[in-house]
Amino acid sequence: MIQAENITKLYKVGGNVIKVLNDINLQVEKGEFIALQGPSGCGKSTLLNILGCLETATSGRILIDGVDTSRLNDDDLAKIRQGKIGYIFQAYNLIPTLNAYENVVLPMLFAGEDDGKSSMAAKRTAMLLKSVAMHDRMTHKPSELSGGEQQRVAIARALSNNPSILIGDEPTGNLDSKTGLAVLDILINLNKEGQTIILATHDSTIAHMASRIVKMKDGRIINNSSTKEH
Amino acid sequence: MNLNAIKYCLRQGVVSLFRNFWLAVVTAGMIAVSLAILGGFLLVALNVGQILYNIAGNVEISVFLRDDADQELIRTRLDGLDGVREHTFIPREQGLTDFGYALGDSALFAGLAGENNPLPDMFRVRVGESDMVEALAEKMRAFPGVEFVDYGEELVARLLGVTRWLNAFFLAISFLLAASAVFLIVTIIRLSVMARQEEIGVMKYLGASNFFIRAPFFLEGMAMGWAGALSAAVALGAAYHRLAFSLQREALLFFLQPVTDPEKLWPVFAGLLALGTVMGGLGSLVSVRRFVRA
Repeated sequence: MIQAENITKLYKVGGNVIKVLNDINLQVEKGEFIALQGPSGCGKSTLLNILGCLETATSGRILIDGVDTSRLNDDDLAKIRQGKIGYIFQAYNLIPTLNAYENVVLPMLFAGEDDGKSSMAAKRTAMLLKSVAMHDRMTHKPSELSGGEQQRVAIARALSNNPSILIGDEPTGNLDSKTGLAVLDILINLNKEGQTIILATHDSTIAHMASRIVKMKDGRIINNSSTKEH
Repeated sequence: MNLNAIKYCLRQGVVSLFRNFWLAVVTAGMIAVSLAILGGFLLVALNVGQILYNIAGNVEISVFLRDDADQELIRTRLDGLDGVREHTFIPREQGLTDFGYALGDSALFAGLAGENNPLPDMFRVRVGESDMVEALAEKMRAFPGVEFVDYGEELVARLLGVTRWLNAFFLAISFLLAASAVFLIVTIIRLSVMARQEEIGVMKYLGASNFFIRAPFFLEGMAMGWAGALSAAVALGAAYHRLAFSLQREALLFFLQPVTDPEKLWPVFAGLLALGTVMGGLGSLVSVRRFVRA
C-alpha cells in the first residue's frame, strides 16, 4: 500500500548538509497500525511528511497504491493528499476562523465534493462528527473547544475524504493522559474497522497498542517488528 | 470550481481583510493617495490636451494659387484629403482687404486694388490634428496650380514638441505612481501571507490546490485596490468639480476652460477604478506566487 524505498533526506543549513533520513526502507500494508518511535530529532516527522507527500525525498521513492509519487507534479500530489491521506497533528491545527463543521467539510471542498448542491458532504460531515462524539459542538470555533475536543474534530477532518492512510504526528502529545487515551481509543477503533494508521509517538504505551513498532535513531530504522514480538 | 468553493474563497478573503483591518485601511489609503495623484495628472493631461487641441485647431494652412490655377479642381482635391476640417476660398481682392484690416488700416492698400493687386488667390485650410499639418501641407504643395503653401511651421513644431514632452512626462509619472502602489500591495499581502503561514501549511496538508490557497489573497488585494481607487475617484471627482465650477465662472480665464464633457471625463474615473482593482489583484498575485509555494 505504501512503500518507501531507499529514502534519504538531506537539509542544507547554512553551509552544512544534514542527513535527516538515511536509506529508509519501509512497507506498510493495508489495515496496519504502525507506531514510529524514537527520540526527538531522529527523523520521525520528516519521514511522516515524505510518506504523506508533503515533502520530497532527496533520493529514493515512495509508492502509494503502486503510484510512484516522486514523478508527480504539485497538483497531482495535492490530489493524493486530498484523497488518500488524512493527517492528525499534535497541535490539532484546525483553521481558527472556521467552526468544527466547516473544518471537517474543508477537505471535501478542496476535493470538489462539497459543491453546495448535494447534501452528501453535509451528511458525511455530520456522521464523522458524530463518530467522534462532537456532533453537538458543530458550530463551535476551535477557540471554544478543549484540546481533546479539537483533536477529535481534527480526526473527523482527517477522515473526511475517506483516506487510505491516516498519519498522526504525536496526536496525543498535547493532551492529558485521560483525554489522550480517549483519542487513542478512537484511532484503535478506526484501525479495527480497517483504517491504516501510521503514528509517530514518544509514548511506549501508545506504541504498544499498534500492530507494529518501527524504532528510529539518527535518521535510520533500527528496529522494525510486530508488537507481539516485544 | 463550484459555488461553495467561491463562497469559501470570498469568505476567507473578507476574514483576512478584517483580521488586518487597520493595515488594510492604511494600504487602501496609500493606494488612494497614489491613484488620486495619478488621476490628478491624468486630468491635467486631459485639459492640457484640450488647450493644445484648441490651439492646433486654429493653425491654418494658406494655399496660394497661381493665376492659371483651376479653383474648382483644387477645391475637389482639398475635399478629398483626410484630416482637412474646413477650407475657405479667399479671392485676391478679399485677401488685400483682410491684409489691410490686419495692419489696422483698410485704406492702406487702396492703390493696389484691381490689376495692381500683388496678392494671389488662396485657400485657407484648417486641419483636425496639429501633427497632420506638415504632411497635409506637403500634399497641397503638389496640387497643380499651387504656387506655394505656408503655415506656422515653427508654432506647429513647438506645439508638437510640447505635446510629446508632456505626454512622456505624464506617462513616466503615472508609471512610477502605479508601480509604487503595486509595491505597497505586494508588501501588505506579504504580511498577510506571513500572518497566515501556519494556516496555509494546514491547507496544503489537507490537499488544497494552489488556487484555493491563492484565491483569498487575490480577492483581498483586489478589494484593497478597489477601495483605494474608489476613495481616490470620489475625492478627485469632488475636487475637480469644484475647480471646474470656479474656473467656468472666471471670465478672465476664458482660455483655461476645463474639460467638463462627461464623455471625456468618465474614462479617467472608470480607468482609475479598474487600475486600482487590477493593481490590487496583480500585487497580491506577485506576493502570493513568491511566498506560497506548494
